[in-house]
Amino acid sequence: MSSPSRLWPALIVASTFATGILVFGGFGAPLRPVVVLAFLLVCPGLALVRLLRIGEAVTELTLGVALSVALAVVVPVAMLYAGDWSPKQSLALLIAATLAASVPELLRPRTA
Amino acid sequence: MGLMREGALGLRRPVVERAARGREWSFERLAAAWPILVPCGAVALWAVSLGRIDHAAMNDLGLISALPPSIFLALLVLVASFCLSLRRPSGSQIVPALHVLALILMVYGITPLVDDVPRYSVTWRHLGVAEYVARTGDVDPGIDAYFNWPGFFIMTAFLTELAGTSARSFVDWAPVFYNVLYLGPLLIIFRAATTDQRLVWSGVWIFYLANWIGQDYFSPQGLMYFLYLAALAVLVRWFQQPRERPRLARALRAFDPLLERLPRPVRERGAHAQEELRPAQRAGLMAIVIVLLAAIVPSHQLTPFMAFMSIALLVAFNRCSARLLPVLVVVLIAAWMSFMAITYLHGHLEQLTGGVGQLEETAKANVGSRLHGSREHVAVVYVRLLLTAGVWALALLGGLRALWHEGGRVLPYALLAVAPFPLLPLQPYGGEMLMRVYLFALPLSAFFAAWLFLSVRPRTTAIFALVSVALLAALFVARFGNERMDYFTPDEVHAVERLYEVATPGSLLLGGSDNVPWKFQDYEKFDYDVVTEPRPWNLIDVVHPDTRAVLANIQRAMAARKRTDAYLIITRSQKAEVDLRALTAPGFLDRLELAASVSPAFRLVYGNRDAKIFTLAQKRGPG
Repeated sequence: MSSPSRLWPALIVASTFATGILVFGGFGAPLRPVVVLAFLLVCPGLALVRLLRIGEAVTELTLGVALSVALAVVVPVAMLYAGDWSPKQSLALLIAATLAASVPELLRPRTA
Repeated sequence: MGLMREGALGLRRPVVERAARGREWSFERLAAAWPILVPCGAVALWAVSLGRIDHAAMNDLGLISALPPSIFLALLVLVASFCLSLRRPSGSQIVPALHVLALILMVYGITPLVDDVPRYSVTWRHLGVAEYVARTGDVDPGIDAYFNWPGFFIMTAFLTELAGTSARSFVDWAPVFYNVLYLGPLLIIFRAATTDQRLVWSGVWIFYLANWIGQDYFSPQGLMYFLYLAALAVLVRWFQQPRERPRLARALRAFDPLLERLPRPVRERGAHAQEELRPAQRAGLMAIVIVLLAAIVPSHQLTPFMAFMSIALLVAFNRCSARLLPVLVVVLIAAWMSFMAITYLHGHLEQLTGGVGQLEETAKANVGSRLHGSREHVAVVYVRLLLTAGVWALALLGGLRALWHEGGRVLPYALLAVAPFPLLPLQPYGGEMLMRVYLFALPLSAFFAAWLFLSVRPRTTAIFALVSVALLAALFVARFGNERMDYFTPDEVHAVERLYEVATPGSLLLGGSDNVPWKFQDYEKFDYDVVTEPRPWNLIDVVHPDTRAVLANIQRAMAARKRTDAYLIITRSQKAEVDLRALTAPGFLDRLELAASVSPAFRLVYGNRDAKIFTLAQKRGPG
């Protein structure tokens, strides 16, 4: 059983892989909208916010969602104005950032 | 008696005692669980009552005129339960959170559950802008203002493309979604201001009872408001430590003796201690704030200015250690406006700057021109004004009490409460600036209003419950007062879908008013206009409109389209808007529709119970 500190990174990583498989594998409803929207609106920001070790669940979740929403604006806006509108490329960037932030936390040895 | 009878039946005493203890235990558990059970019961009563809401029975007072009594009863039960639960000594966060979530569902979740299709014509326009981005992978700033601040629409296109779904399937839930999002930053801000959890939750409760503005639909401002609150939450929670004063803050030193003379706190209700952050944490949190601001600037015209005002005031009064942040906001705004929104600025500079200092014009646009419409609608507008003034009055009184008890510690929160007001004389914002100022001031207004209800004495609880009921009643009138024109029926949407099937690109689409669920597809491909506002081609006398003259004007305008088609669409919600807001004479659109129906110059292309589409008879179009 995961300790509480590993539950969130495990969920984030699982959600990231699920999103990647659903989008790049070309799967459709009903699972895809739920999983993909949940990932994009929660996971990238939460993975990054957890790096700060604030340690308050409500605060981390709030800032995580806010940062995810902001990234869902900033990344595609930047790509569109750069003349390279590609939702899948933007998603790949966010997946990479999410995994880079979450996997080390997941793999870190437990302390007593 | 029961126990005695059981004893008389020969049961062994320990069994009887265990049974008695069990019952006692169950009763105690039940009694202890009421703060959980009662809001759940209120939600259940509310849910089963939703089916009895009859849109057809609605008058110009809006949704409140169509609600069954059981919904009011459910809300009253929730209010009573929340106010009583605040008296409990328990420090549990679950009980107030459950009440607040129930309130959000029961107020903001009514319309998504009873409406068949998304409401507000502007929602459909927003869907159209996002559809344009998804279809073309581009933005054209020449189309309109939305394309100069397209961040939200690009995000929507991005999300829906990846999710493989249409935004239309979930936009109606935006008010519930946004208001749940607002809860997080509100809690962080209020908990930074006080450790008294009753004060925190009372402030949150008042926020949701007073959020009548209705900007939380599927809109850029609704979502950017969340990012704005989140940015403020980080600043007041972690960046309040006063440092060596900058020059401007030194100039404001005159306030210090005044603040120091105030009495010390009567009770320890102080803010969270500003914990020391490691440099990496500090940098990370500031990076989050910057990303939030970077998302706000390209997404909405007004929110960046509100953010600037709030942050600049905190910095000016030395209540924010991130002193360069206001400069960064200005740079972001200036960069966006100079490069990305320059097309819009070229055509609207006079409109944007012309309102500066025009107080009379601003007052007229924000208040005077809104006191207009049917008798019930004018009553709704007065309720909105009363609710606004009432919340500000409560905030002022509560703010004075907070200042008396807490001294200068409340200063940053007072600054955030007044920060939006300087924008009022600068821009009428299409007659909406007063509402926007109210919205941006609301979180801290609600927090200070809660200071009036701190005591756990029964009398204070009763007064808080009465105030809550009054706010709730006013909220339903103020927020849902335009409901008769705001909701659409499936028939109206079917008619517009049919319109896009028959109209060739470039066609002129005329509406009885702009209150139509249109522009959700092919946003840039059609010309839109309305027939109830004066135009060079239609000099309608809005007070005494001549139906035959207007129909002749419409006929000429439609005939002038040589290469493309032209259509006139008249719908139920247009008629509701014209009558409710008195855009022209009551019943004018009914008369216009009848005149077009019997005129040999017009042909009915499509009609159902709630909408009719006409085109010119001599032009053969598909239909």
